[in-house]
Amino acid sequence: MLEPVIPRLRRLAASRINPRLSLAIVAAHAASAASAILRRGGTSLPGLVSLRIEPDCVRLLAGQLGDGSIVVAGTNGKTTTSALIADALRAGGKRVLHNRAGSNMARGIATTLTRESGIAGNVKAASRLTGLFEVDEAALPGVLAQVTPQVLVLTNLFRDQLDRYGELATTAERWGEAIRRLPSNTTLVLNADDPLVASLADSAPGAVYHYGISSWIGAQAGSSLLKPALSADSLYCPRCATGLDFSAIAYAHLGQYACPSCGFSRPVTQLDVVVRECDVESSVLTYSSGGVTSQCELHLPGRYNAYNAAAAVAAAIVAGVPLPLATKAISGSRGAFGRAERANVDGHDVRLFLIKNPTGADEVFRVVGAGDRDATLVLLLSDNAADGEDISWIWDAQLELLVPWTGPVLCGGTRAEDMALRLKYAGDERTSTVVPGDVGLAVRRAVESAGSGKPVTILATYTAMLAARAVLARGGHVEQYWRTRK
Amino acid sequence: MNGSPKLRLAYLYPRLMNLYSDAGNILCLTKRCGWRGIELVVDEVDLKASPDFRNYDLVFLGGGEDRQQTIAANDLLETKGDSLLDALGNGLVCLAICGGYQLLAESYKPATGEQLPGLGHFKASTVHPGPGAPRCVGNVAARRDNSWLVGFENHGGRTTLTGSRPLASVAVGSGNNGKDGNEGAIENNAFGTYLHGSLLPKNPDFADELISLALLRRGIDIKLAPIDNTVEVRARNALLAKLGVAS
Repeated sequence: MLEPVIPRLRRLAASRINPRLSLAIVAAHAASAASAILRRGGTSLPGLVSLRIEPDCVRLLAGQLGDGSIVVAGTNGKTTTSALIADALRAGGKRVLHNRAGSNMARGIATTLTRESGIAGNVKAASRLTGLFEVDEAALPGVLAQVTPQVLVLTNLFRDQLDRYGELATTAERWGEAIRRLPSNTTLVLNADDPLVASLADSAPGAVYHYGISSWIGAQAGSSLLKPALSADSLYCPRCATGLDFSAIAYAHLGQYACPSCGFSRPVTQLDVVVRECDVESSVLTYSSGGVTSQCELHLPGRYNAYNAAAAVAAAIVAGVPLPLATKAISGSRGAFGRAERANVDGHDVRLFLIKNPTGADEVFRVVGAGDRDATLVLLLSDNAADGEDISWIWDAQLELLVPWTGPVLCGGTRAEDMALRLKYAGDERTSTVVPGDVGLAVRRAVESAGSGKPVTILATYTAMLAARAVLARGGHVEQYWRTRK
Repeated sequence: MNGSPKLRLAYLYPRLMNLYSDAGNILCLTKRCGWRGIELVVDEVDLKASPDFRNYDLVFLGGGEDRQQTIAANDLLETKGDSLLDALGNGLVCLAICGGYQLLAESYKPATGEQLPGLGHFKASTVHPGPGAPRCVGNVAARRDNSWLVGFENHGGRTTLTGSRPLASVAVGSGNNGKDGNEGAIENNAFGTYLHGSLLPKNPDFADELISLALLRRGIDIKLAPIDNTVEVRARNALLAKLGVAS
């Protein structure tokens, strides 16, 4: 494969082109072709190979994107938020180069960029492209050293995989250091309702655009809570460590807050969202920015998706898409893979939700708990590296929200027994079926044993979600994930 | 004994020191008491509160982030120290995990900065070897008498016992310091440990031991009614099998 390339590389070396970058791109293409032959997803290997050859390849390629880059980071919702931003940008007439879900480290971005690049080290049609990169929390400082975004969107910080990410304050500090090194033409889009995220405005060399949800109207929107859950994280002032006073909480520690000691409080927002309805299927949201108001339905469930939509609209506005265009595009959006996906399997309505940390899981429990409680419920808990080896978070998650469930419950994944134990202490008197190990087997058994036409709701940690999805994909019920994104 | 027994538990810093789902231990104690007709009253004891710890049967203290642990450490010594130390000396039943365990021992030397004094109930001291040192992270199986304790540890500090007895002996994992094989500490009726997980649900015998000790201290010497522990033991044995330890 490399044979005919070498003379061309020699010619390139004689020109002003960076031969190492060209070699990195060629190698990435070869790795990608090999992955395709092996029928693997191949979302990180090409990038890994190219970074080995040219450690600066992300900087060199991303720098060519004529419409700049948007980087999205946060604990929960970055994949969905990115998918919504992509839809809004396209509606605004932009062409989007978007990294695929599950490849949100530097190597995933390298894979995305090299795939669209020619051997001369050029991103094809770069002048008309916007880069859109969702980035892992821990990888963000490294990525920002390579990609200088026009827009940096930071959504939320919740405790997640402490064995991998370490403590929240440490993550926020590293983000702050990386943000201080950004140029003044990078605009920060920050969630005003998350105290720790909002406080990152202090580190911004350039403009800051805050978004937030100011009110939840109507019984279906879920009244805002007044007492934070024990698992809520940022209950102390990020500036002076005094306990924050919350006047309203949407969920976890997202809400309206003020520090009684130093005066730090929820900043004024440039995009304000009011949630008028919010249930297991959809929400109705009113967006207001700069005197323009737009009301739209969002076909994604739960309060967390209202926040994802708010983040996406804010990012789109900053990137130059008019508010009404952005909200209309988002209202037609169906979200991202493994996040509230739906498939019909042999007459069963199968829904798949990702759960990975207490805050995200609680919101999913609220959503599915408001749906059909006769459904077969499948809880898949795994402890592979990508899930986090520490499964203790399930004791912070409110499995109690699922106890009114009336349908059969099946626990699967590499730590199925721990999930069953958690359910016992949540007050579930029934014995749940435990199918440890092979996730595919657990999913097939759940679907087969569900009553005729009965729905199946699957809640799964990351690797278990991939495995469950693979079972559904094999049946042709959902697309294989590496083909869902262009 | 008149009516059903009632136990009081002081849950120290439930929001500040609940990093690794240690609240599951409170849930476990509450349920296992409740299943036997014992009422467990849980009082959340936050910053600045100065309760009289003689009024309690049990006290629980979990782990926190370094920054939050520093806030808790100052508050503990200033507003709760004397009463708590006195009660622990008089046999108050206590479970302290990770950061909580470190705070109740003699001293803690953080990754950077000065050594901080602890409450000094556990005869043990902790040193963080520095910001570059690897953390002790992973699943743990430790032998305790004729049974096992299993859990998950995630700590930077290394603890050395200077007089207290160890809680258990490590088979898989680091335990107190990754060197001497000790995990945790026992001093009177107080138990310090690095095990999250949550610890008690997967180790129901240990949970029952804490409840029995608390009852005994009240002069209630009863054998706890047995509970069907199938689900608990299955989870513990699955983890032991994963770690290559025969249950």
